Amino acid sequence: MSRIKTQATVATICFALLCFLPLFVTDSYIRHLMILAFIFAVVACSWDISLGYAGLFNFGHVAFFGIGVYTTGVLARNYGFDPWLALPAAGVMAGISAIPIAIPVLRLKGIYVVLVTFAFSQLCLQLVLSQSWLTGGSGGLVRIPPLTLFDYNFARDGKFAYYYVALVLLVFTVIALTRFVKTPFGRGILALRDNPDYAAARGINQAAIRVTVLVVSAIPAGLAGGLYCLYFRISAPEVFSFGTATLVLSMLLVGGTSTIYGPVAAAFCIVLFSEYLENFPDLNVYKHLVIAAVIIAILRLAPDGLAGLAKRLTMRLIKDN
Amino acid sequence: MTEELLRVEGLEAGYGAYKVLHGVSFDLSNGQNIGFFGPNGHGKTTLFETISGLIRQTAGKIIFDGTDITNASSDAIVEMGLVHVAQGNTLFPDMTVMEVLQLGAFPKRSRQKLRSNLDRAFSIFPRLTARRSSKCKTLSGGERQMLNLATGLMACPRLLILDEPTLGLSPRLKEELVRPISDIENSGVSLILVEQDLEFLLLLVQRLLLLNHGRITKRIDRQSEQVSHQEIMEEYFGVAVTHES
Amino acid sequence: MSLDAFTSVLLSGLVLSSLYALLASGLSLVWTTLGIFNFAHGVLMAVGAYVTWQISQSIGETYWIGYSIALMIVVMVMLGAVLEYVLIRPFYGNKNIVLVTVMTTLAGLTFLENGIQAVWGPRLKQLPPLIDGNISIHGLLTLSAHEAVIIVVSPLILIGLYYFLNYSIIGKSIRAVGQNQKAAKLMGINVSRSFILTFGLAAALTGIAGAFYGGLRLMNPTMGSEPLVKALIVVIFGGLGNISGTIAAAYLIGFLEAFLIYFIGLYWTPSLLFLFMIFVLIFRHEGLFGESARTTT
Repeated sequence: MSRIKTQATVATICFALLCFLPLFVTDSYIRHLMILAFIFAVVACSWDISLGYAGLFNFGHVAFFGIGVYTTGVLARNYGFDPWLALPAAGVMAGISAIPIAIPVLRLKGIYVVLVTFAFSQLCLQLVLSQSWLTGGSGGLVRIPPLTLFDYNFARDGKFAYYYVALVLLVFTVIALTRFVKTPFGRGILALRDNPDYAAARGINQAAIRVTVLVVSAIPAGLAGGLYCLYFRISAPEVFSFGTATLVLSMLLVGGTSTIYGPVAAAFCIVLFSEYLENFPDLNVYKHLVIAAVIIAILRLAPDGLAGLAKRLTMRLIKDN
Repeated sequence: MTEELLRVEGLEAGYGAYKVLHGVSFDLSNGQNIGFFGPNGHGKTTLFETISGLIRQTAGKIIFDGTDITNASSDAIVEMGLVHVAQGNTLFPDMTVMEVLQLGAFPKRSRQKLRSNLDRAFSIFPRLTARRSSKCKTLSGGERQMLNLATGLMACPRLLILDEPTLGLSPRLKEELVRPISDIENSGVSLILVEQDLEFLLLLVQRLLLLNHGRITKRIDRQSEQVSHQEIMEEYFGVAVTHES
Repeated sequence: MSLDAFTSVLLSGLVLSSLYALLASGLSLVWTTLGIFNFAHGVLMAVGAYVTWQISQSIGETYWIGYSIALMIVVMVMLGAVLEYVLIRPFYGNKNIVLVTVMTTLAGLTFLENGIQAVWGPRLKQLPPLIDGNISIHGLLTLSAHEAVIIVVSPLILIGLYYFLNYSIIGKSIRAVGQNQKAAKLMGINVSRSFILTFGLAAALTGIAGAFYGGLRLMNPTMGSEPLVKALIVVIFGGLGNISGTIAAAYLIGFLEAFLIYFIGLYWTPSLLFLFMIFVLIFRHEGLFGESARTTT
């Protein structure tokens, strides 16, 4: 009980700090890093629902993010949609596209799920590349309109407004997902992961759970993609790449699966750490080498991720006192 | 022929925090056979997996033929001639009987004798001759057990551990296994035989050890003591009943 | 379709197939034996090409490139062993091993890709062909001698691999480890040595593919990522854990790709291949040629 309370207190304090941060930090670069961290944190913690809680080796989660990026990009840039409409459309589109991917996932398990979801994300990438009339092909879509409110242009205020939009998205995602996993339905998900035969015997509908899990986890990823697109004002095919998948997956595993908070914390650590390395110009080419090595080291030393590490530390503190 | 072949002293082992063996000690001389029996889930399989190096012990010592093998790797142990034929081993589903037998002779000490060992295996288990090019997954339960035994023999064992070789076999098939196993005994290989079926065990070994709750609770030497089948059965079920009450 | 166009499609299909087969057989071998999917497999192709280039620069370009390739194979076997030791070994017994090794091999991919960039820089390089000149057969078709070598040598290597796995005691022990680790241990097979050997072997096969490719096109650190994805399709079509199926599928996919490119164009081909792959996974996940496959974890 006390652990949950501590968790909630820490989360509230962090939230308060993050709310006031832009008031004191006027450096737009720091704000930019925070926005990046918020967006990737949303993708990582929503991935945790399918990969961590449901135990589905869904490797195509980044494709939902990419679908969000392109939905918003295409609607706002090609069809003149208001960005405020194009953003939720990204969530809807990602949620809908999770349904066809759920069909093969229902029939498969283990590594085959990795492969079929990976194929799905590659299929998305290939479609984006080949349909250049719509997506701009390998060059992507550029000059996507930014978010505006009446005459206030979000792109011209030193990243102030985008900071809050991203923060709101993150906070809502975290709250929604933590609530979701605590509902009876959410407990059904865990039961199905940990003991499929028992869950089936108790009448838990495996198909319904897997479809719902994929849809629920896809929506925040799609929204994050939409925001990413409106913030950077481009839609580029790189969002479907190995690089993006590696980045987000590392947040998830370094943070610790089935925790929601873990991947969020890891998203901050990884974004900030990789930017910190930028301070060493000599390191330039070695930056990715260092990050890769650090990820392997963390997986080796803390197999349950940062969340597992934090849990062990608090356990020890409680014991000592 | 009384030199010591295997000595196990105060062996403790388990899975993580769950301890299964609480100090098991026994020894075996060259040319001797012993039988293990006892209820399921009381550590028989764990004991033999620890001896053959699949599980690490937490305390105790294992000495085979004068060498301390307590911390030896499983392949080094097989190389020394201590061969464990596991319970219900499904072997390699996509390999043929012939391939499995050849792999049985993987240890260096047995590679020279591949030919003669193959002949011996096929003469002890003539049924396998006909199925030499069938894949393991197509074998019947009885054939699979025969292949298991034959594969153990291919390694030129000095001590062969057979963990429930009759598991899941019909009484008729069990009977069929008695002769090959006594053939193995007669060829000078020491044997540790684990069985649920006491009658089967009594046909083949002189000494019986009862493993109960991870300890050896009863040792019966059939040569010195005149123990009847009935008494052993009472001992066995008596203990089991006390445990349940 | 004119005869000329047909033969050129056929030839490019053969060259592609050969490279895919080398790459996919290593990927499949690692999957079968270790039960993990190595996402760093593709980048090993680039490493092989760059290492070959480096060796040929060191020993002097007057020597035939084949010698450099031979030395590269030694390097690749060692590198494969190191990768197994660093990326896979620490995670045996981890309940999430499939997932964790997806991550560690992806990190390995990042590491090696950027490592190549750091060591050899961004300048484009190319390897000399194995044999100079062109071959013309009855004036019907012309191909470079290098391509001809690829078409002939790759199947020979694969036949060698097949014989090694099915007829040598070490090869059999590798297959045994893949099918039942515990039983393999009880037969005196050193499982961790088999793992290292498997990884080394897979790295060497991929390195050879890289050296062949480096004589065909310009090299760059990411040259292995597209072939890896193709190899993945091949492995799925052939059925995971089935070497002969993998080899057959490599040739099928190579030709299919060449024909698709010819008939429906470069843009739609990859999408169609992935769509096929998804359908194969859904309806026949043991692959087109597989009779049974490993379905757990």
